Amino acid sequence: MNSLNISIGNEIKRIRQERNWTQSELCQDICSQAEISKIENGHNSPTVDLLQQIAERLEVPISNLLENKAEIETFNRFDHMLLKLTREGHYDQIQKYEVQKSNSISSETMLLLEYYRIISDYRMDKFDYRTTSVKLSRLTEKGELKFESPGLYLRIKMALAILYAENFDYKQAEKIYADLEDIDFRNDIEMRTQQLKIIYNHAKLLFKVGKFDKGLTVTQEGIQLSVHLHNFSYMAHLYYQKGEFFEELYGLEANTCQSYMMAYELFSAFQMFRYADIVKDVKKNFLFSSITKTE
Amino acid sequence: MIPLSTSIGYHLRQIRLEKNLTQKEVCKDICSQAELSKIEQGKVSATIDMIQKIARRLNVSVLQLFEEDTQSMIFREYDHKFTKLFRNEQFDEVIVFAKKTVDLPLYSSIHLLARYFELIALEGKKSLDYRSCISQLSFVADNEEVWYESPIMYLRIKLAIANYYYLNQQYVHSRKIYEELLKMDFETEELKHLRLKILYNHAQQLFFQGDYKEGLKVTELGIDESIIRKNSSFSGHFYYQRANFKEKLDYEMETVKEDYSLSYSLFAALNLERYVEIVETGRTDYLLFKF
Repeated sequence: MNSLNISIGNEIKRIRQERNWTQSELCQDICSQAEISKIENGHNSPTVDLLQQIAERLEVPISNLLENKAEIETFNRFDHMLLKLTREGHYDQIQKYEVQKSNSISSETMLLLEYYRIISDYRMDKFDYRTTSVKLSRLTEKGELKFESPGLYLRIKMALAILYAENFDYKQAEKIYADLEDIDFRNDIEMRTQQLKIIYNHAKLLFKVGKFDKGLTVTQEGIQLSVHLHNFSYMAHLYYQKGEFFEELYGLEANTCQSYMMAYELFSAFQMFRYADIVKDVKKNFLFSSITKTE
Repeated sequence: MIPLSTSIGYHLRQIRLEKNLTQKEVCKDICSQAELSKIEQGKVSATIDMIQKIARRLNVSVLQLFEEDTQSMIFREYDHKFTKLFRNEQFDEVIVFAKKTVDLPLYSSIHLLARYFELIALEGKKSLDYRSCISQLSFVADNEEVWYESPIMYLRIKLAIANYYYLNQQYVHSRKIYEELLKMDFETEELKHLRLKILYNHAQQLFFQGDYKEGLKVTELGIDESIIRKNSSFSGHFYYQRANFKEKLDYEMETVKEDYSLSYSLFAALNLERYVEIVETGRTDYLLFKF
């Protein structure tokens, strides 16, 4: 049976029961009761138009039926808890974590748990980085992760890139970042916003390994994407990085000054005052009057 | 309301063409070419199973296809075309394009968009005076289905009405509309984005009305909400507005200069060259630096 059909069925049933409706009340003038029963059980795949009619009857957007709310909530709950344990270094607790199989535990949630386990194994020195990287790679190749839960896919890939970089395998790390940047997420704003974070990490790595020209290109792409998405999460950071690349390549020069100046202004405008102060402090030679001097 | 299969089919076709794939390549081992062709034309309603298989072949997720995001993406494409024509004052082209759009099997929000642009283009070329335009727009917005089918179009039409009022010095009328709109619930990201525009226009209207104190408050609300949303669309405008208000309210020159400089930086960062030029020429003495 197709997991999407099951999840659609579960969701229809859940909302129907929440409203205290019978199957025949739900399907009246839409389809037969036998049909709705098969859909709820996940035996039948509804047509697009039938699903639309059901969604309208239930007064929910059709996308709600395609994503299982209970599953998403469980996923987020697990994620939140496991992240906390990881941050606090309680790796042994992650190891011991038992999951009761139930309806709302999706395969995605199980993959998430596996991901955290691999990371905690590594942090506890149970496995070396090579084994860990193979395990993480395998995880990303499971099922249709890339399409079914692109968010988790990006996270695991990013963790893998960081793992490579930590172990001085810069080439592999760079390759992952470049691949992730190339994925065409089309209209998925959430994933494209994630790509900003990838670009930022990528540029950081390029700075570390001294690839300043390439770094300049990558930050420029990040800035363009930020403008396109009207999202300023990483915009000021990217300008700061751009300034660092210019500084390494050309020293005290108009482009360097302009980038740092822009970073300072953007940090101020977005009220990230701590960062603004750091720029003012660390890069004061490049700010304000110096711009006109070098022009 | 158009059946969803029509727009899903239309969308599948768009993605396929963008990826330079033939129907044959996409339907291999999934369904017959005739069937895919019917699905793309919306002549048959495919099962979710089938849509999932096709979506995988096209490298897009099913959710992506169905999500409001998809609708808003096609919406944005149309919006972009209309806006561009309108900004260039190609009013006749807007009207022709609007008439064509209404005949296509698209989401109702796009039909509303077309109707909206047709009316404001008619006003633009002065075939319709602003009062008649307001009453026709009101007629469209007050259709009870509009709020339900496309809250975004409802807000935009109302916003246009408020703007006509304030451009024609009817400040009391326009202020009332802005205040009412800001009281509404803005649930989706897109609506929250539009809320920023409402705040900006409202502050602008308060400036012309001479209520600088209230205007400053509205602008600062706009700045705060932009930061929470990490949305840069109106950030440059808000800082420029704030500088305007502070100037009128006799704030210290230094803080006025800081705000003009921030708006200048933001306009530059967002590639809004026209605005960069406006600040550079209009407020050159206020800028703390120049790029």
